[in-house]
Amino acid sequence: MTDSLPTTSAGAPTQGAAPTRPAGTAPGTPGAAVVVDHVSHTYGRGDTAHHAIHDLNFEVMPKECVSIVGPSGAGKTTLLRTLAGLLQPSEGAVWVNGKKNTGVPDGMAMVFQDYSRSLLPWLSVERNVAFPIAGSSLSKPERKALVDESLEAVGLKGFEKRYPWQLSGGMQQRVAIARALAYRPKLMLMDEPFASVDAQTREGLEDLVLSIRDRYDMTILFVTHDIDESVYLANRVLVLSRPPATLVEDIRVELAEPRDQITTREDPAFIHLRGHVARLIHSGGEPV
Amino acid sequence: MAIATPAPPAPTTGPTPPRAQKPRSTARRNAVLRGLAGVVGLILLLEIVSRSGLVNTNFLPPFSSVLWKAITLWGDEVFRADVLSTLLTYVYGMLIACAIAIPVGVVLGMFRPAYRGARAIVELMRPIPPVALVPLVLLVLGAGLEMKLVIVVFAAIWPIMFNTLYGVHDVDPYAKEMARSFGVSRFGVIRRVVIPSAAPFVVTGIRIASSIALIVVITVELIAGGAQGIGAFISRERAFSDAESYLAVLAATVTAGLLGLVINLGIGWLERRFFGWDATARGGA
Repeated sequence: MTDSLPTTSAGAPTQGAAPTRPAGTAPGTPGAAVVVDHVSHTYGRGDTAHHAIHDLNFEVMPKECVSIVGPSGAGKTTLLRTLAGLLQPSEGAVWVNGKKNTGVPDGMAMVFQDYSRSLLPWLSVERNVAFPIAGSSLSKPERKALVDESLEAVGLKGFEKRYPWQLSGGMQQRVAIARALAYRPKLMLMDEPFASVDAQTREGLEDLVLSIRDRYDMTILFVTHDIDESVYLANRVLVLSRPPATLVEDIRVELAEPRDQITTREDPAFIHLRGHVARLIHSGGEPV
Repeated sequence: MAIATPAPPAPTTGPTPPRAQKPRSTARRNAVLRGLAGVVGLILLLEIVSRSGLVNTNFLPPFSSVLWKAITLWGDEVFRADVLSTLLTYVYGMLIACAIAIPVGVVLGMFRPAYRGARAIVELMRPIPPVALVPLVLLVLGAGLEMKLVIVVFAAIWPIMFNTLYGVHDVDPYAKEMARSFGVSRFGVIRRVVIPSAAPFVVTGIRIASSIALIVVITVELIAGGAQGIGAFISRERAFSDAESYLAVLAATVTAGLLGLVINLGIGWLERRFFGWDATARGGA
């Protein structure tokens, strides 16, 4: 794939994309962790073509925690798969850590929604967590240290020898998060990670994300359909419209840190924000 | 909403108790006991019918004498050589069949165009009864080990190949995507996700092929004159058609049955031991 200049259509200048930018360098703010540059994607062609996302442009700076929300079927997962390099967008490009995605980017880990399918049932918990680093150049003790620390970070010490199917849903998703952590990613993508667990487990997992965000220097992008969650966890909320999805609003979330399941959710600023996001989503991307 | 339930910072999900192992093993033992009761009952019935003089003891000798004959036959060097020959043919045949069927199954399962290309040939060859090939192969290779091997391999290939194919095809694309998201190469995904995930299917295929292979080995030995093996032994003994040889035929048949049983139990044990994680193996054990 050639690193030619992204298709900057004439007459529609992107913010921050200098036209004199040398070939092969990322558009947008220098040092951005993620740059999404004029990304559109259409599945299939002809009559059955589905235009999932249309001309998305945004940036994520390092250590930001950004949530992506939108009406169901809004192409949130399509966007995430594009960021993960699992899907090449029909148009535009994604740049991760200054490099254009032509495949899966370095230093990126993904947490999938369906833990029961993303964990490998024939591997014990510790070997599942070691999966991304099993083929690496690290020595055995180094790998073990990474696995132990990651399991400790998600509160699963002592479960190393168990198998995923012996654990509850919430614990399985913790294993999947530990697996992502063992990879020591710079960028962590989460695709509706808590959609399949019960409400109480969900709160525990949300606080886990907050704690690992503080503990590890990571940029986190996660897709959710839970409006409260999108505000509770993030520094920024990106609201997408109905498909073909465009960016409706990029909302900054400035809530008191550390966040807390009770006090943060009582905060009038929180209540105001969640109401705003909810209105945007319910209107399907029309201005409110 | 605002009034949320108190959320402890520690994991909200408590440790689950260890999986209850006991009821399952008890149930298993009961099943084995019931199975044994059936066998013992049948043996007793045979013994009684035979000894009561209701039937000609030449045709239905008491089971105890058949069993005794099956044990004493092991003292016969010719019989031992025959059993060994059958076993070797079976083992070599299975190894060759696996060596061919598993890689072919993986390729056909992974690449749809390859499957479509091979389908016509496969569907043409699969319905051929392996034993129908005996005259042809006899003509080309004579009555030795090679002849038996060719036919056994032909019989054993299909279940292994199709199970591998379905197993590989059935691998969750989600798991493959997970591996890819960690930068695992295409070949790495096959080695670390596809093959382990398909392994229980492959072993089931091997178990099915294994019983077919044993049947086919003995059948070929029976019908191809001059061959070695349990089947050939039965065929030779039958020719004498006296009471003693009749007993030998029955004893050899029982031996063949026991051989099949032991092999089947062995593979079943392997399945439970190594593929206990697989839901089908867990539930169907």
